[in-house]
Amino acid sequence: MKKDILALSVIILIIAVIINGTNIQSVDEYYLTHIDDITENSETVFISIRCDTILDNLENLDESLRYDEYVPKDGVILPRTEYVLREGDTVFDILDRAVRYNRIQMEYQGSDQNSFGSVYIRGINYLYEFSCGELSGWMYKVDGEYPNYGCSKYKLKDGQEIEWVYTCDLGNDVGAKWLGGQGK
Amino acid sequence: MIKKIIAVMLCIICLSGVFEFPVSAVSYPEIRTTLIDNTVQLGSKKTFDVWARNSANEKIKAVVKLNGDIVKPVWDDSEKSSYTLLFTKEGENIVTVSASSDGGKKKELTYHINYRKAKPGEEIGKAVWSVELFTIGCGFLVYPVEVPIYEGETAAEQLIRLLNDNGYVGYYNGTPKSAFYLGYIADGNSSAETYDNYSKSTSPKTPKNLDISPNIPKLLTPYLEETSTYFDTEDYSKNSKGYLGEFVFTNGSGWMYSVNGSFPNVGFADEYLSDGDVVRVQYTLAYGADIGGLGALGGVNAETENQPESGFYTVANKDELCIALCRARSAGKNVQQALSVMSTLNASQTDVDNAVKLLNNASSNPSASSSVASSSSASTSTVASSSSTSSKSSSVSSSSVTSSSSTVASSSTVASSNASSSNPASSSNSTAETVETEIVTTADKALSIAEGIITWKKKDVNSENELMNSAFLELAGSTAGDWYPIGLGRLGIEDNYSGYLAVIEDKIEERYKLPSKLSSAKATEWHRIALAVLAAGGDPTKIGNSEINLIADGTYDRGKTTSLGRQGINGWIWGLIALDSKRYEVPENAFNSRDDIITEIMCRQLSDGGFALSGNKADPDITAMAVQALSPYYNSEEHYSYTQKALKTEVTKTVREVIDEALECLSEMQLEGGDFESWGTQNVESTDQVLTALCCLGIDALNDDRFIKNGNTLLDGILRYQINDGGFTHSFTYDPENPTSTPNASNSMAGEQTLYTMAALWRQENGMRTLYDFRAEQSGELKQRITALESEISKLSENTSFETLQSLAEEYYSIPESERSYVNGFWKLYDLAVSKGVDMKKTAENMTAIESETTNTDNEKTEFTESDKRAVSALPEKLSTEQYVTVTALLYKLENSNDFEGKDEYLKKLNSAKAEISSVQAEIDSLNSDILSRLYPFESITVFDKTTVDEIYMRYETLSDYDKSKIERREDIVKTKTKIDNELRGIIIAVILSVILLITAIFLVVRIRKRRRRKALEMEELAEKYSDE
Repeated sequence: MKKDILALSVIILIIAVIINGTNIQSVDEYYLTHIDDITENSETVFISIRCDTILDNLENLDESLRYDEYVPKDGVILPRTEYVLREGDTVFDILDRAVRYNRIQMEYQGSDQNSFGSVYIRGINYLYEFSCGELSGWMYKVDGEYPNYGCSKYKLKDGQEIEWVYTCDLGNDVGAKWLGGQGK
Repeated sequence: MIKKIIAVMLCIICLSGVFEFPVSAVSYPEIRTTLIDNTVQLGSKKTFDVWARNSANEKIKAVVKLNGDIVKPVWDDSEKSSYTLLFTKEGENIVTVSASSDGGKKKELTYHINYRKAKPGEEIGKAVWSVELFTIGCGFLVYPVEVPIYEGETAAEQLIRLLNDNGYVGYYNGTPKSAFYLGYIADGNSSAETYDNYSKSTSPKTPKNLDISPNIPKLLTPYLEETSTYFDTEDYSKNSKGYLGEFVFTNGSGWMYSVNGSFPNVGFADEYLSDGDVVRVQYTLAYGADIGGLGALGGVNAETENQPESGFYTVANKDELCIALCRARSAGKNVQQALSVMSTLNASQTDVDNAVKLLNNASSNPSASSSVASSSSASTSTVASSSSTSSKSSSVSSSSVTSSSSTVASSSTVASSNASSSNPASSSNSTAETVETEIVTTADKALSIAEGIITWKKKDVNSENELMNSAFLELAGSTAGDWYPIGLGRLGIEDNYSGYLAVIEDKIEERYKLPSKLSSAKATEWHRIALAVLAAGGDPTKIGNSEINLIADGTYDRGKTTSLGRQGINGWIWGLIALDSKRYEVPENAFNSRDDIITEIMCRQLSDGGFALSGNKADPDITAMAVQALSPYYNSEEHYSYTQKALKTEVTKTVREVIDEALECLSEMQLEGGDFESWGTQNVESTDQVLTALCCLGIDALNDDRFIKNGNTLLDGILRYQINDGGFTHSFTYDPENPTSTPNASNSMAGEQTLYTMAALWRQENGMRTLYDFRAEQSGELKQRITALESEISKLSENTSFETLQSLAEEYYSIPESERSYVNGFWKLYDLAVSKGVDMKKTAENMTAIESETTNTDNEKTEFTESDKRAVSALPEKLSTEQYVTVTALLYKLENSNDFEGKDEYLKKLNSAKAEISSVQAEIDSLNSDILSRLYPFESITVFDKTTVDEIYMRYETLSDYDKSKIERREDIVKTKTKIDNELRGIIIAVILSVILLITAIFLVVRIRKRRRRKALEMEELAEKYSDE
């Protein structure tokens, strides 16, 4: 009788293991579903989205936006997050992935819609260009530098650091020396 | 066609009368050719004629050899033979023409021709062309003009080019390369593909109507009445309006041409021209008998038997006169007398020669040539058109100037060309000629630069015909989609404007359904779209069925939603440009007045005189745009008081002061190459904006010292950025960190800004309204008044009397206020008048503006053509957003078309197609938002979301391939779907395995138990056995 119970419990245990662990996938499927998993070998980049400058210019901000859900108290919309760098990823691709995965609102103008030939970010988290004065809008830097061209044209390399920052003064308040906006 | 052959035959008769050869005892043959010895030949082909006669004056066979090889005639008749030489050897070529008479006497002529090879399409010289309507009293249709000859081009190809350049089309038989025969010259916008079995030539960029009122000279009438089998002086206006060619007026009418005085018997397509040739295309009413070309139409024929052998009268050779007229035009000479000789059909050769002499010796018009030297922009058009003005005042009507805007340009200049005096000025000829080439090239150059950009852009959007194809029109309503239509429209280049209007109106109506309408913050969305709608010929104050008023919503009433300047100074600048595009009136109850907007711009002037988005240093682009916006007020005497933000002080200024300071600032910023630098980068767009600003002010930018640096003009500065493919690059300074600044790649923004800058320049050169002034063109009468006033102002000096100044001031104030911005030099008049004590204010008050009639441009209904109907039938069963542009454009066209049978059916079909596409678009939008809200984050998606994911996936799969591409991050759908399917599969496999295991286990247990029971039973039996024992 004891043996029976033992055998049964062994079988149940095996069933439990099977139910828990069965995930039979082809190699392609595995890569597809694990493309964003960070492993030891994967190339990654970091991204953060901040709007600190608005905190100093609250008087210029649209009244409808003066809530914590739009402008967090610490100015951080997305803290520094690591993402796997896929082949050919641009700054825009990473931003788009980050806002989608974190359910952050974003609106952009497609690269065919303007004359820069690049995607133009109009708003993130309901904060748009001109939401905080006539010189306000979104800018990005990579490894601390402001590239003077569109975010969908900037191809990333392993380990690079992207920061999206909101400026209220054409970049002067966020340390951009030469130009405002995301590219002339 | 038959007529041509017949007519060509007749040539013999004519010429035999003209050339009489002495009969001598020694009967050497007589040979005459149109070749000239020791000449340089640039084209690879040369056509020439040979006349060979024996002593009896009969035609004999001639032998033509090029470097020893016999050349066969391309035309041979009883009169003469034509040959086309084909040169292959560079350097000296020897052509011999020989003939032997009956007595064995041989004569040979030798010509040495130095051939220099030209590449196909290379310019190998210039021919003077004219198209003449003197036989019907309409002067020149095309005033004598020098036309470049390109290697390999036939005369027929040149003719079509010439007609197109002048706004007309031709209808012809054969092709421009072979057997070409010109049947008709017709209205430039003539749409018929064939007319009277003749096929239509290419169409002109700027079509012009064949605007003639025939008045057949009295001289001709008796001849025509006698010789014609059909003759009706009203025939053209009654039966053939817009098409002038064979069988109009008479049975013997049609187009003929002469080269260097002789009427060739080869067709236009077999004629290869050389440098210096004079080609006169003339309209004949009697097989050439009225123009000295009877022979050229052919031999004896029943139809021509009635014609006198040598024509109606002797016709002089007027080639030299044509050349002289062509040159005189550029010199601004009075050509009136020469034109009257030109129009006298039977003028004697002496009269003609005298007219040539007179014209060549006459001095150029002093006012015209001086106005070129001075840098006033209006005067440039004066020079280009002065000859045509005189032609107007003579009996000849002036439909002649080459530029497409000729009617505009020519009418402004009567005063100056009639005022010509006769100073002896021997050098005037040569200087005048250089002036002409310069003027021609600026407008032409601007146009050809613009064409290059369009060619490049067409390649960019994969279009072979019109730039605004479906792919392009999808962008309507965005920067990339709106500026090209503005540029094209202002250049008068034909394109798919109705398609653009259809799509933009639909898109505006859609966007107006959103609370932010076109944009929450950027008023410039309204401004750009309004300008594009205007350029396409639409009305921005009545968009779509809901009659949206972009001007009100985007300018004076924008403040009711949010400040016009919400996005900064740009909003005010472009708001003013949009508001002034048709000088729209601002209603009393508007949020902002016009002066509000003007002041908002002026108060943002920096201390250096310029303007910028931010900071205290002028930016060339913003400064130039501010000047563009303020330019209509340059002549305004209004003083504005405002607080200049940069100085924080109250100032009172006129717009003129602000603009002058801004121009000075711009002049200082211009670099050595003629271009500008903005935000640390030398670039083409800044230079474009400055040139556009100067054109808006009517300044002759390319001759203004303030804007020429190191010999480089703004145009030179712009051309530094031109790329081989015709497009323009943003900047040529290479920055390895910045791939978009690659100096060798054309860029859309650089292209669009240069395109409309060229439009601004081209318009200025042609005396048209400025780039952003979309009102109907000024009437000729008004232009004339303005030009006359400007010319008077240019003569003013310290010594001018009070009375003159007073009367000029009166003249100025009699010009309607809205047109005064077009008067250059007003401030010179103002300052002098005020200094002499003229009360300008009172003068202004006492004068009533003399309004001039404006031309009404009624919106004509269009036809919904067969090909449109076919396009409707060709729509696929299952519609996708790919057909959006097509359906929208067709529907727009149908709604604006004349009624026809079955129109309702088409309306129904298109409306339902439109609705279907809208619902597909709605599905795409909802799918995009569902994906965004339901598929993320990836980790949290589990089997429990299967229905959601499957639904999204299914909806995605039902879309057409084109629509699928509109789904953002579609790879994520596949990814999620795969993940869930995998998980589900795992679960199913696990369940099946578990069930199998469980069954096995139960089976095992049962078996074990069974065995045990059996064992126990056996044991019991055994036990029983043993107990029994």
